[in-house]
Amino acid sequence: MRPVSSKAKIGAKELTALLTMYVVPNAFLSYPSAISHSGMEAAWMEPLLSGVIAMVLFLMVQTLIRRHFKGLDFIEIAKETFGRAFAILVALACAAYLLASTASVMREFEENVITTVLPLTPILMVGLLFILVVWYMAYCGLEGIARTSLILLPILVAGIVAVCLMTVNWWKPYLLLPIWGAGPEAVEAGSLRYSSIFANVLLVCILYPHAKDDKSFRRVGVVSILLSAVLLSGFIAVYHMVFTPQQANHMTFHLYQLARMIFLGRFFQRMEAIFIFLWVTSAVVKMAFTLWATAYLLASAFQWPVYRPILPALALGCFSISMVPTDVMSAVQWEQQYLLGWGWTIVFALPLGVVSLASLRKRGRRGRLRHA
Amino acid sequence: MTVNDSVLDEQFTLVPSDDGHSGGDSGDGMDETKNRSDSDEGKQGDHIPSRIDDMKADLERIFTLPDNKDIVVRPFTVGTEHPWRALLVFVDGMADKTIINNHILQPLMLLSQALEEEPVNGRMEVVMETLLPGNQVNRTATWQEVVPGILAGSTGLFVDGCDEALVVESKGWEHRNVGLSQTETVVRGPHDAFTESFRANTGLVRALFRSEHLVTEILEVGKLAKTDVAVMYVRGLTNKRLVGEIKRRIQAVDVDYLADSGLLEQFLEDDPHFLVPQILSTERPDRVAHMLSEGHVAVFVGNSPYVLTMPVVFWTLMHTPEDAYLKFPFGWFLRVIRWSALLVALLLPALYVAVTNYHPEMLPTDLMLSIAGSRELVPFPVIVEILLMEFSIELIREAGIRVPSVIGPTIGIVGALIIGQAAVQAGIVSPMLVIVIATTALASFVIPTYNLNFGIRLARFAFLAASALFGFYGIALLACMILVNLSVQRSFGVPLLAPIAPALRASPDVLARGPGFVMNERPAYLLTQHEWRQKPYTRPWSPVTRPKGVKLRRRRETK
Repeated sequence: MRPVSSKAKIGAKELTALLTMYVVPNAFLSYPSAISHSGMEAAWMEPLLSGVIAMVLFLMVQTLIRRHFKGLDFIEIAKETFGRAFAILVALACAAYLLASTASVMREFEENVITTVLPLTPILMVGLLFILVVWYMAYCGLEGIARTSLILLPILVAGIVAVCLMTVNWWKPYLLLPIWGAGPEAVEAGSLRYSSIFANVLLVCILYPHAKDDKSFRRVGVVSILLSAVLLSGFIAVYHMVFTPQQANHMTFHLYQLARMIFLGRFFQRMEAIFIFLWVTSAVVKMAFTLWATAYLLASAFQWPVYRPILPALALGCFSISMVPTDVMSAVQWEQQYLLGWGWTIVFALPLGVVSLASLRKRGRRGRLRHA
Repeated sequence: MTVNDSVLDEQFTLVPSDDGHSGGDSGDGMDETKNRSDSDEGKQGDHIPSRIDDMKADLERIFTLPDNKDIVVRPFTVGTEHPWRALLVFVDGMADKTIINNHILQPLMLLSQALEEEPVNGRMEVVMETLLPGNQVNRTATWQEVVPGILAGSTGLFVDGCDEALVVESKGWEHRNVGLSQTETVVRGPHDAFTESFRANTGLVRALFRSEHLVTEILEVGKLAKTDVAVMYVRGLTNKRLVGEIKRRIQAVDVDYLADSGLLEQFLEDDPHFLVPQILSTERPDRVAHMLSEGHVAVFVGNSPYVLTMPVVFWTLMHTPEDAYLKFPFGWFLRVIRWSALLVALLLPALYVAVTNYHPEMLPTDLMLSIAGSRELVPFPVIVEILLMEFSIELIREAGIRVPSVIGPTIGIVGALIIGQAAVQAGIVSPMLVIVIATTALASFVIPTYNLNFGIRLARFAFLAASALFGFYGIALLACMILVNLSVQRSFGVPLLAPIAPALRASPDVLARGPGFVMNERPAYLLTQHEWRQKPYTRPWSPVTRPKGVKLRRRRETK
């Protein structure tokens, strides 16, 4: 088993793929519904604006870490500056968010599987299979998850582009009008509120010491945010050229709904089943990454030499939490209200706050030493 | 006591023990063999005695003479005027008798009449320097060095009064000549293949790769019977740590006898439980030569006609030498066909089960009706139907290998009748399924690596089970598991999915095949001592392939 102290080194392309694979599956979750509700016809602008916000914050955090805390992760920074107790609190907060996020994703995908593919299979069985694969992938470690992402990302991008293009005969560009949808203020508010899907700021704090090449890490963040924002925005734009925002508000599984519309002659029709591969594989990667990150944060905070033994417990916890909402609408509501709505506190505010304060404190210490 | 004694102790005392099989004839025989072996091994560690009678006695003990009829001990005298008593020892069937008669016995017995009376300790000197015309003669003073030489086909020469022996190269056992490749055939390219001769195999590679930097180090594996294992690499190019690691793993192999390269492969692989091979075994000298030039290491095992090359990445297992010998659009096309075949061989039956059981809506109505119509009379569920057919195909495949060649064509007829006609007419399987299974079988034969083919066959059954239970959902989850498992596997420290995941520099010869003149860099994952294989542009005279910004030198000079 690889001890937490010996950190796996991941190349720039794998990291880019991993961060992109973390963000893009939101296209299959309730995110399109949420931004359709807030931005209406202009919902496609929201991922772009959220991306800009995330990128600014990412660059700030990355610069601070590179200047003051080279080779340290988020928890190590907190530990070094504010002590172990504070680091544990921070780790617990992040782990709770990641675990809840994994559970939420899991429940939504389970519901999607039952609605679309296996209507007669019990949700427990669907969830059990899901969590077993996610656990195995997290067990294989960051290297395995990142390499799998690199292989799957082109398939995901090609799949999303294919779904978009294959519905070209249903596109009604006028559905995107009025161009500002619910108004610029509403678009801005929605972009801010739901910007937490770009969890790159938190992830950069976790992944920073795992980057093989410190210099290219900035490029990794920028490219992954850009790619995710463009893909999400493109998908939402196409989606809204096929379905109105009002329709989108009442749908839960947007990629599936779009794929169902494919009709390119008598032979190429009803191809939604093919895209099961797309959303199942990307969901597994996303969940495996968050499960790994949860275990890694806890191991780092509590100074465990390895993170693997906690994985079964976390997987079981995740599975149990995913079963808490009574139905799919409760799960979606839960996600939109708490994880998407308040996620920015963990994803942006916490890492930025910790790293900024730690940097200030470090600078202050240096200054005192210089004057002494 | 030598190292070998301990091995023999383990071998012959552990077998008849608790389960009550000890005793009786076999037990006695083992004890006797053990005792004899102990004394023989003990003797082997000793120096060769100087008296010819003592030598003979030692030889009788070591080789169990006169019971052992394979060993020939030929007493004779060197010279006639002042004859010296001598002994010649060789293994019948392994040594070339022409060499022994014409180049050892004849000069020693007939051409040595005018020998001067030499001091006893100078006799061996005279024999070696003036009487033996053989091209490889080793002088040695211990049984430990003489006995393996004799067992390897050389001839031992002992002269009375000398506490030394000469080991004269005389290997000449019967083996198959270099023949056509059986499992890696190509249309364009060399057709020769390795054979059951260690030295012929190393020679075949050296004939293709004529470089003074090509080094062959020979190790021995096996304690009861030794097998030569040659480690071949290019000094100054191949990663030194890689060579060291391979030698370390070979030297750590602790077996009594190593029969074939397939066995050594299992000892050397990083994870032998994994379905995908982590070492490439090939019977083609040109492939070994090419891989050596890239910075891989080749391992020859005794007289095995398959040579191991390592490390290997997953993508290499889908390559054939022909891809490089053909013009690149054709090589590229072959790769596309092959990758498609891999997916078909792995997934087609599972997709058929998933579509018919769980996702019939994705089929166009006409096709769905056609499938439903063809299945109307079939009494089994699709999964049973498909397992029956898969089992039949596996039977035919296995029978095709085991059946005596004289009745080989029968298998084809029986198979075609069972699968193609009778099963459909009896209503056991549907015609559509026959097409699916036949296409899958064809696709699996396209996979160029035999071991990978096995892995795909087994994985196909796993996908079948997943699709029968959970449709596309099961297939997608299993694909994720296999993918992540593949991505963390290593071959001698090299990630199996390199240079794609992790992304590393490499020439365009991974998934597709680029033109030969742009294969400039060696794979980065091999960490070779020289990264560049050839200049960045190898056709400077050609305006068609010259990179932009590069001008011909002649033009610059005229300017």
